Amino acid sequence: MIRGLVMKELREHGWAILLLWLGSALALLVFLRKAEREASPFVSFGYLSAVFGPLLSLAVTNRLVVREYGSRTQLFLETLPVTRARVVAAKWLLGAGASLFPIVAALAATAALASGGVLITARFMTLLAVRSLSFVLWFYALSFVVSLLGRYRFVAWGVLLTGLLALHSFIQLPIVRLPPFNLVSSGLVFERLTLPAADLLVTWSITVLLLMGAFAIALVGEGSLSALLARRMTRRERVVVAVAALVPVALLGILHGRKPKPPFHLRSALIVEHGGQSIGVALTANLSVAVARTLGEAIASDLAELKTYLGLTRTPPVYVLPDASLDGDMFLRATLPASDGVVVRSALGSRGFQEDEFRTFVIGEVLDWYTRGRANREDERWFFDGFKQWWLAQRLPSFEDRLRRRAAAGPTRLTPDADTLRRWLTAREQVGDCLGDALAWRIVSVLARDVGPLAIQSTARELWGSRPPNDARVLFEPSFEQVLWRRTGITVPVLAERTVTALAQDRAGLAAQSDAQSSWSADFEARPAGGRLYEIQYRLGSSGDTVPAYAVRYTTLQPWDGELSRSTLSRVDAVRQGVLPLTVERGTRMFAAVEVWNEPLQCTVRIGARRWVVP
Amino acid sequence: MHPVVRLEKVSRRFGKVRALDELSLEVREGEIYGLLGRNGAGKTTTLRILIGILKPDAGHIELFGSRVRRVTVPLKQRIGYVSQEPNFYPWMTAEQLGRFVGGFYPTWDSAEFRRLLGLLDIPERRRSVELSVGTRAKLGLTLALAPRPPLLLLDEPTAGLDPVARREFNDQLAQLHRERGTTIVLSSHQVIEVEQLAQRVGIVQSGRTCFEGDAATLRAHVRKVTAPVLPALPEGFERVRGDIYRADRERWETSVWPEGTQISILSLEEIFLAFARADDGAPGS
Repeated sequence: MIRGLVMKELREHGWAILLLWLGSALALLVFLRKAEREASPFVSFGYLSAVFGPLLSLAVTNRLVVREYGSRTQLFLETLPVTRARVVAAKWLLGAGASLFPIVAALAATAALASGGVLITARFMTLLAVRSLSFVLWFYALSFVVSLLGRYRFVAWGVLLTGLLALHSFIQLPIVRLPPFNLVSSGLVFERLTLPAADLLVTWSITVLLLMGAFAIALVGEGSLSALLARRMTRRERVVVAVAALVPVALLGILHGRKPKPPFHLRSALIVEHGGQSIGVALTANLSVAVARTLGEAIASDLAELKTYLGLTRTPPVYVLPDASLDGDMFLRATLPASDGVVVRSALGSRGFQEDEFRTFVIGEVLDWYTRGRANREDERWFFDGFKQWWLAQRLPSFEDRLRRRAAAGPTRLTPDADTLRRWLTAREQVGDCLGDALAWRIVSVLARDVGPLAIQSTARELWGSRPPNDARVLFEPSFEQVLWRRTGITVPVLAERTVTALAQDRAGLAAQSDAQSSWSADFEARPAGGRLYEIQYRLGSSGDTVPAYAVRYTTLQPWDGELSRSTLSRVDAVRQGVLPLTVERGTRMFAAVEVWNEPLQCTVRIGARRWVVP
Repeated sequence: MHPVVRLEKVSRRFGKVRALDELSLEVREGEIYGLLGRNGAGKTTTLRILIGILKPDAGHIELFGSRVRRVTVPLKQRIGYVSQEPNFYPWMTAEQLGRFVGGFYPTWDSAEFRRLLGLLDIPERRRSVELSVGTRAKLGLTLALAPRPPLLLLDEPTAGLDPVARREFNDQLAQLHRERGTTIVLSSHQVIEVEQLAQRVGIVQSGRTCFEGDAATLRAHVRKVTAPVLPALPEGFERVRGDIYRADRERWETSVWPEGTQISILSLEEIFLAFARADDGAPGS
């Protein structure tokens, strides 16, 4: 009888199972290729067990269980002389075999391929097999039970996933280090001696419980429960389930966002306090305590004054980490998933470190933290960029002079009309961070000249002075242009016109320091490199001067890529034309630009920046 | 003839709904037993208990002369069952279904299965999903008959069939019964169908058997009394509904009625309707 059932299942699902096995083989090949750079070829087997094993189990149970109960053909089986328990047992065993076979085959194939380079012992193979098969069997048993829940299976998966995320998020439970997950963790392929007996026992116990659960659901009420669960949802039920599923997820998201994180603390850092604001500066061999203290005090002073100026209720802990590998004008902020604060990296202590620019960067990052990232919205970004330069430049005349010269060099490539201001990220990408910041400074300084510093302060206070709510209420905030009009009585087009005039005057006044780079042009050309592949040739041309050393910044673009940070761009240093060290397929989206260091402006100038699709 | 099926005070509940309430019936060897009742009267529950899909909450079951606590697989192999909705695998052809179902019956007769397919004009190589409702019903009958079971349970096999297909199905069922003498329990709410096929009838109402016997006896027992002024009923008479009464044949023949009283013989359908409407709050299965 079991044979008849198995033969039926094979006739119905055999081709699908074969396809899944073929998929497993392909996945193994992909993982093996990926594992070439890893310490052991068995890493690929680890990937397959951890990733493809569960996917395979899901597909198998979907075929064997959901299809049978969903189309109510189990009612036909009930009329035949076979018990329900046998039907479920046949399905469970067949599915388990279909899910585990590719894992066994993959282990054998990996062992055969790795036999020349890795020591393979019977104990090692047994450990690998027991751990991976136990994990996949556990997931298969879980998937089988969930499949029997019929129309509620998606709800069950949602609850399980949300529950795991909640455990991970709220009580910091390291789920991947607990059984059954830790059986296929990174230790899987490197543990050669010890059998994780306790973890295996837990996994097997859960598997047995799940197996019992599957039989209970299938047999309880003479199969009526599983038949009832397999019925399609009514519309009302769909709505209720959708709401019931979305509400906890939304609540979890909100609670996660509101959960206070511990403040970041670096014990070894030098802590400098000024005006109630403390700054931590990490010390390195290249950085003297005196330099660190001076910079720390300057930043602390900036932030203390900014706090008063904007009426900020609090500021985050700020830490500066020196990083000699960075350029002097490159500053980065670290992502802190588990703690709160602003941690920035810069070439502090190295030659070429731009201290003034770094201080404006820190001001910007603190405001970004305070406004939960809303200060960086594109519609107000020019004001944000310009404000932080303007605010610091008021206290540092030499910095203001530098900004003025840089801004005057900018408009030859970019005219700051209203559209440019509204699409500031695009404009900034064209001229680079240095000229972009200078241009933004000029716009804000023109605004300050015409409406007075108090209007700037009141605009900035309204925009960033109070911490925005961490929920949907932010949708009802007034737009930036409304705030600007209300606080200054000036519109963006009018301001843009006035800035163009001011920049023309600046250029006339600074004629002696002409923008040498205005005659330079950068070209990028895709050339066939065989088949569908292309290589990208770059060239910096000049109508007059000798071409200096320059850097090519580039990256391939994904559909969702917005603002491109300089730190995410690849870099090639060049003195003459050349080819980028990558090949791309036709249709690839790319960004590339040439960057040249301008000594008089003390600024990296971007030339020929463009996004395009390789034809 | 000893009974092939005997149910004694069998009860079954589904939650708060009482589907069977001490139902008793007896099916004799070689007969076609018509189980009549409204939708939800308990016919399907009765048959599902007999095939072992459901278990009774109380009462006794006797199959092939032996009392059984539950219908085991060997017993099930001696029973053919045609359900109201066959729920065949849609991708299987009639031939594949035969091969699959045959694996569960040691007495499966492949030659007989093919003969029946030909006899009932069922295409062998067409997927079940492509068959008409009538052909699917005939395929269900074929699958139930191929193991040559001594007992055949048919749960409203002609439900959803058009009159022509229903007539054709019933004719072939009658012919097969004549050929084999298989005991058949035919559940239906089509009175004419049951009247034509069944030797004995059980009327199920609200989960109970309210009548069991042959159609002629039923007609002799239940009659309509029409009188200008209804007299006091003689002893032994029981009102079924309205002016329809039930009593032994002898009482009907020996009772004296006032002048002007008309006693009418009813058709089986009229009797069934009288029983069926007597209790409109019938529980469902």
